[in-house]
Amino acid sequence: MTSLGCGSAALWLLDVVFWLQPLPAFYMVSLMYRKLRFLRLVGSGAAIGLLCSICVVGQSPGGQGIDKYKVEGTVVNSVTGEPIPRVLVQLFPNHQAALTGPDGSFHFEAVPPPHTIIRVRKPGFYNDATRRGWHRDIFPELTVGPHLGPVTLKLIPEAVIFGRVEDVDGEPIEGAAVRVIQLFVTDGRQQRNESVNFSAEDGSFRMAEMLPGRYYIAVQPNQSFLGTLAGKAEDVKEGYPALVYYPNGTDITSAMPVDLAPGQRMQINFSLKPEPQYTISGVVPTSSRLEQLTVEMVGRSGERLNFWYGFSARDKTFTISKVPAGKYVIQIYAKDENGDPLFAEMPLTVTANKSGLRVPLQPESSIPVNVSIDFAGPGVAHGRVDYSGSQTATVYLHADGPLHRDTGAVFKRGQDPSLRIDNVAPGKYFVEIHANIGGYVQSARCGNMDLLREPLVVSTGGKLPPMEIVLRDDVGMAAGRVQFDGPPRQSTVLMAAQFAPAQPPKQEVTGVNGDFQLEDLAPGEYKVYAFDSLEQIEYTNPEALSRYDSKAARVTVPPNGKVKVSPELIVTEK
Amino acid sequence: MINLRSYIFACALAAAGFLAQRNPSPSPQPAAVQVSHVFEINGTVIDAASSAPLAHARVALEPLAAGAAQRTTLTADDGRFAFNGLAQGAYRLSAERTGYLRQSFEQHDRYSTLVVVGPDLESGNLLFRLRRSAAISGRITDEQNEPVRRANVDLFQVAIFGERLTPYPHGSAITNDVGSYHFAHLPPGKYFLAVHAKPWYSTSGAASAASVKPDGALLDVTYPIAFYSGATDPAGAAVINLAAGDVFTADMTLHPVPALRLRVSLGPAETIQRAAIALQQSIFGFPSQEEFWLRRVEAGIYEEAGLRPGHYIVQARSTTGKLYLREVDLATNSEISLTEATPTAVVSGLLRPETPAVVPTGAFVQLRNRKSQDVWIEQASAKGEFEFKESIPAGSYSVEVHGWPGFLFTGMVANEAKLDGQTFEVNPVVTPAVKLTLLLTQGTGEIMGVALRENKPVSGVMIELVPQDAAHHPDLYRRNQSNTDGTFTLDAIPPGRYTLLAIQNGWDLEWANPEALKPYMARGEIVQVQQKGKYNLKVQAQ
Repeated sequence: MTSLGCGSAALWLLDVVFWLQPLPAFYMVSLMYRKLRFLRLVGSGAAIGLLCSICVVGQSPGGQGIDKYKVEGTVVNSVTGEPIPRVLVQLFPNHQAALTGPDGSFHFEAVPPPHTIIRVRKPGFYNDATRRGWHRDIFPELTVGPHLGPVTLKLIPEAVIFGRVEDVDGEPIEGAAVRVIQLFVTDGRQQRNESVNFSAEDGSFRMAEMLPGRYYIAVQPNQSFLGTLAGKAEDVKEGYPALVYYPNGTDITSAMPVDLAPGQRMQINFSLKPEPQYTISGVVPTSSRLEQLTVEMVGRSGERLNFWYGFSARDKTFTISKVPAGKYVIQIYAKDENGDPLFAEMPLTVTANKSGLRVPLQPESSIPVNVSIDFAGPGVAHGRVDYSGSQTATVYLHADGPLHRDTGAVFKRGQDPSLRIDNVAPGKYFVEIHANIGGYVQSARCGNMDLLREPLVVSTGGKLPPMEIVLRDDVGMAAGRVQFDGPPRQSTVLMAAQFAPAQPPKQEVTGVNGDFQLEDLAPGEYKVYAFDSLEQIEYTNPEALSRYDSKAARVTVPPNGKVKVSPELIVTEK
Repeated sequence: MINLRSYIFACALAAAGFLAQRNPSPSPQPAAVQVSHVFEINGTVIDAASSAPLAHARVALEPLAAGAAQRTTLTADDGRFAFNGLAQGAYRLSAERTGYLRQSFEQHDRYSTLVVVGPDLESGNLLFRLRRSAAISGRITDEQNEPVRRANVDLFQVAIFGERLTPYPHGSAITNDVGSYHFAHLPPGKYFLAVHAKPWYSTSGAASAASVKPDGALLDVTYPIAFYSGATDPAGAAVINLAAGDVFTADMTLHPVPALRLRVSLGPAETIQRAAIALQQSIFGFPSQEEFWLRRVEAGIYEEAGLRPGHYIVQARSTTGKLYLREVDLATNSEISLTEATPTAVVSGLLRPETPAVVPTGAFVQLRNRKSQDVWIEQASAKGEFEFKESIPAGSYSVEVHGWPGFLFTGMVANEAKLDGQTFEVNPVVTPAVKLTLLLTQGTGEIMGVALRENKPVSGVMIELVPQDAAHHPDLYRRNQSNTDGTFTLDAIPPGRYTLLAIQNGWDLEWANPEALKPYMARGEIVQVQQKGKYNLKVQAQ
């Protein structure tokens, strides 16, 4: 019996098969990987490792004949090893399907060689690819032939979080938003994923289909927790905290993480104690006639909190009701009579009623972007290439911290005033720039700020000079082979430009023998890293990447030249 | 359009709920406000069934006077509550408690009794009867007793919708990982449940019929719409009778049936966007939220697999604007041809107020097909002109005008189209272009009055204004409830002849059914409402 799954044995087995039958298997893996990369789901060598681990092949002689073969096996619970009945097993591209029997077994006759993709699913279970956070079904491929023995397929049982939200007297709290938060790294940046469920009338909540992993649980009671009557009433002076992180934290840094194992049923109960609530009021000084004004109170971890608020358009005053003590940021969004967005932000510590706040609204920043093309290549020199209508660069602004939203735009060449990034709230942003027409970003400045080296700082109400981006085409190239022991494997090479630490490293997935080639590199000095997996590597953060400097190779890429480099494989996965 | 219909229907329900909060008319304010006097409202909150006092119920008092703040209090251990220091006027009293419905005082339907305080008015020792909320929960399992996740459970409440008692959507729920669903905070009444789901293992639609192998053939299944307690036909649906406080368990098991395919061929010259050809089923006459979008197989041929047996409306709108509409009873794999476009009419018109006025942005005209419940909406221009972008198929349509505060749609005239009150007929073969003139008035009348029984004011009585030609003008009914001092107000009444009724214990009547009202009409007060007329009437409660 051949075991399918995520273990290293399976990996090794597949690697052997790659050597035996490199072309079709690698072709498929390569194809799948490209698709994943396109989807920006993963960007790491781990992807390939995983694909390898789930591609299990029998002892096929090649499968060139016209005979058809049987495919059979068993689906088991990856935790208990018990067979799982009524699992849907499908073979593609032949569209054969069956449910497993009471003993978890399945059996197909007349499956045409040489390959079939086998897909298994059942509510309450995940496959290994999903466990890794892809949230996308990637399924094993079998080599069909006379020697394919019974296979064992593993499904990972879902985890479930359930519990109750109640007050200190044991009374259920209905309508509380229970937030399950997962922090993870995607595309080299810290991300936050959140799903929400609401407590029922008996205070209970239940969240299933949880993948194994680390979570933070928070409850956000409805401010009208005693019903709408209480929510509106003027004379109700107490309420539950705006947000409580399990077990009793006020923000995510004081929360206790919950580690869910496959198949685990975890009970999380919240007991909330009413506390004093306060009224916050102030004025939004502006001569503009305001439209569509929204007042938001944001928690310390960036949570959007719901409070009752009122706004008088006549005297531009606002009142936020029933605010528990705590640290917040008030954000006010509005539009003036011309429809132009206005924004105001003010940190606020609430310990008592507060009145007389002045929160001046300012126009949100709009950053003009000029893209210059300083190309000297033969196509340009001879007038054969015209970039006038092309989308030359893509600019992303990644907000530093959870208070503000990411933004960005795609730009054409030139100094058209319409080419700009609108509605940028004050704050710090990491600017990521991609040259869409080949070449590289030679410089990116916004006033005195060198955006290749430092973040963009947008001050409140400040007018920013245009962002000047210069693209050049005297690109260099780097090629080489990753050094590693053991069977062939793919990895991901990162090239971090030392002259542009604020830009994400260039990356490329190697072949199974470790070969790689990176093009369109800006000339200059680089550190070169090779990772088995980028799954948890915050590689856009130079400080996080510097932990691996001891295994990084250093090279200088010449203009219009090529450099060879052989970085050592950095193994991050156990 | 199907999407729009579902959306509009949801909006209409939401709007109805909104109106329910707003509509009960204020009691007439006493002319002279005695600021030197303060008054009190007090009483006891009790369980409506057992009369036991309810401690820790939250009671809210909302003055109808503009700008006055709402106050709340908790009942004491003996259920008592009190609000003192009140100015003369009318107040809306509400209460809630865990396990009970949030209610206004003596609430019936969307009406309640306002508490009026002032000299010589009794506003003490009120008995606030709080009804326990009911709930329905259950578990949906499949033929192997495994939970069905993400099944759609639709709850219908039997209530007056239009002229008679009929099931109408009350809410929907999605089953969780153990197949459970729960409907909370239900008022007592009669309910139906319908479940629609697809077996998680169904391979329908995974490939064309030709490529599904015998191994998978058995998995090409679906679940028919199931009605509690197991029927697959609405006529067999069991009524769930909920009394206050009931917690009803309605478990259901779904049994798969072979899924069906429908192939639709269109005229050779027509092109259809995928999003413009769809199938939809109805549940109790209301469009199911579930829609099936057909996929293109080849030029002019569209197909959908995984269908359950039943009655469907097939609808396609070509890129040239032609409508193809057909009803299909699906019992086997079927093919239909939509080569003949459905005749449609262009409907346009004008909003005509009594005196010229600029139509505000946001004013719109709504057409609803009285059979299919399909809804079309079109904005009116500042001049009041409108024209429906999509042409309208044959049928009977009710007209509504919204988004113009202060103006009431009272009637219409049309070129050649048959009219019946605020309904008109579209017959594209005879009249391919219908022009409507929709008449609006600001000159509505108002009736203020007092309901009496044995010459004493009586509270909590259903007040109803019945239009003379009720059969053709169901929109002209007006209702309210008498307050603690017997007063009531009916407003937004178009000119015309009406009968004013006060019916005690009349809240279960089919109030828009002339036959049901017949026994009361003889003792009603006849009133001829003039434009902008205001009337003070006394009416004897029956």
